[in-house]
Amino acid sequence: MKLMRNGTFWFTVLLGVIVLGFVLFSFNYKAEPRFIPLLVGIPTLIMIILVLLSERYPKLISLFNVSLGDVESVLKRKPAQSETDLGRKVLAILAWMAGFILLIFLVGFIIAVPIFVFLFLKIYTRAGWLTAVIISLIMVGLIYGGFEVLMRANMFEGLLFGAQPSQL
Amino acid sequence: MLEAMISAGSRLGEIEVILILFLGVLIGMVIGVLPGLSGVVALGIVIPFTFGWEPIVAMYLFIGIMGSSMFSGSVTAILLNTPGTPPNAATCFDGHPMARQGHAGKALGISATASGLGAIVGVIVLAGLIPIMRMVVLAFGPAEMFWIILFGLVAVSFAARGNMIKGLIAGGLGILISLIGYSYVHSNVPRFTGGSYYLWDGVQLVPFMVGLLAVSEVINYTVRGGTIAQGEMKGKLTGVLDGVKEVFRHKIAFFRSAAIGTGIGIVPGVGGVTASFLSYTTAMQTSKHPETFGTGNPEGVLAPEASNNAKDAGALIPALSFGIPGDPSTAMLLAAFVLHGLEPGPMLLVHHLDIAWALIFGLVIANVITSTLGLIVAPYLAKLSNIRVRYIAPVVLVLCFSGVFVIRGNIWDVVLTLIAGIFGYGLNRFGFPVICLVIGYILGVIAEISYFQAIRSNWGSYSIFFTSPISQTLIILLVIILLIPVITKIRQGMRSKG
Repeated sequence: MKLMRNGTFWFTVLLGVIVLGFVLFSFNYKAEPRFIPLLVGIPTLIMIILVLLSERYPKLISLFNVSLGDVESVLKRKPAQSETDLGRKVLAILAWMAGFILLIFLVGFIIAVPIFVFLFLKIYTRAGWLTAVIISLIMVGLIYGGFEVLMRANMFEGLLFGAQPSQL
Repeated sequence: MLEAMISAGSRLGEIEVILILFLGVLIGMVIGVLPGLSGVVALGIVIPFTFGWEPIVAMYLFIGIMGSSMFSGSVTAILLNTPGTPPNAATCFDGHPMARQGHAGKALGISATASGLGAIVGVIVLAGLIPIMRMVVLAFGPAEMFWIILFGLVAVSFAARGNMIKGLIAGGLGILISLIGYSYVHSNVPRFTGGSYYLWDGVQLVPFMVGLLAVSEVINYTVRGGTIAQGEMKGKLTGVLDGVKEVFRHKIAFFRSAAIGTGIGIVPGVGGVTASFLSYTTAMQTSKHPETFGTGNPEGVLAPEASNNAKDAGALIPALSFGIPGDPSTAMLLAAFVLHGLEPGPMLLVHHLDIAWALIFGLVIANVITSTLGLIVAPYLAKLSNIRVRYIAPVVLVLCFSGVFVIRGNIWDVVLTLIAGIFGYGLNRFGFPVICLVIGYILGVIAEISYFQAIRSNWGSYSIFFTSPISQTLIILLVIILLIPVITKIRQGMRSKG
């Protein structure tokens, strides 16, 4: 529970930093362009501070807890996983996704897709060899056939094969 | 009006359009049956594939998905006690006991009929309201538009379960994100781009929405894992016709549930879970035999199913008239509008009425096809739910990432999708309603444009925001919504002291 509270706290801090960035950058602009960002940003920042303070003083925002019927509690939920376990799983899936995008940057979609699907199924899902190979082939067929052939889209070919990413 | 109706309806005479609608229904049925995945993921996958299509044809595909995903979620709820989508959870309470007693066919018959007819009731209300909505939106000037956006945002923060402050924070953040890029109201001033060329055009709508709504959902269910249907199908599918008759036997319960669903759908942010549970509890409270609920009472299947399908049509009302999405699926639909060159907001009903009618006709036909086809393929659909979600995750991720790239051919859109996915997961996990951020993001720029249009048209005076009766009504409603939680808490406190 304590860890969960910390999670909420740190995520709210992240939101606060983002909103603070918007507010501070707004001062670089003239009166009109900065009006709405400040009008929205400052109250949002105040509410974020309220949420952060409510981690210590829960009554501060409990007044604004609303519910149109306690349906969530009626929903059958799986037993909660431990926070450490959940955090580890989140990091794992994020690493997989980041790895996939890195692979796309390096070798392009047509090569990255089967590699990612195969490795994900084999290592993360622990699927059988045949299942992993078949799904990987179907996916690359779908991407090549659907996008390159049918939609005539030029899929990114990867930096190693001479593709240039658009300007950032 | 009639011209738009004929224009949209006549397209249904084309075999290609019917096939596309049918394809949408199939996709929605398959995705809807997979526990954990919902129509919003299906929309996220198919939207990029429709790039370059005629908008009206693409709409038939989208509405096919939206109209069918809910029913197939009830198939697993009844047969396996595992709801395909969260709103189907209420169907488990009586649907699965019926299946265990050997009345699976009857329960499915009730579900199919109530779903189909529930959606039709919702659509009739929507169709009846279109002429009125057109008149209402034409009465809206920039000042009124500014207030309705603010009202929509606050209403969603109130309606989304949890804390209103967190909803407002998410909404504020959504507005700020929408302001990134060139500001056309301020002589092309680039804002918050941090020197990045990529952000000059703003945060791209489709990658952002696909990440925020679809990728975050995949992360969530992959992390939670084990969302495999654990149950086993009990009973044969006989007595389907009895189930159909059962709906007509409980006319009042049916119409009440459909009305609740449509009403809940109109209120942005509340969603199908509340609609189905509210209908279920209302049916129980008004029943002569409330003790039979939970043991296989047909009304316990009829009420949530009629309600959560009627909700889809209700959710289209604020989406089509003001661009305020009622739920994540409608938000994704609005993203698709933008991809197809249609600007969500009041002018949609003025300039693209045929699109609204296409959605209405499509929703009716999709529900008829789903209800009929669903009964035939229900046992096979139930088997699909045994597929592990972890097998599906890489497939959905590949389709989402490849799809967003195809739209503009910009590899950074893929990175944006990933960042939005992680961000959406964080918002969900820590209790910040994503739908509020989506509404802020979709309507933020429109709010800013409306604000400055109003000010400039009134020579810099703020009085324009307070003079019209529509603005005054919206301000009063806004204040009421903001005060409701506070007043409720004070009354609860007084009652507990008393």
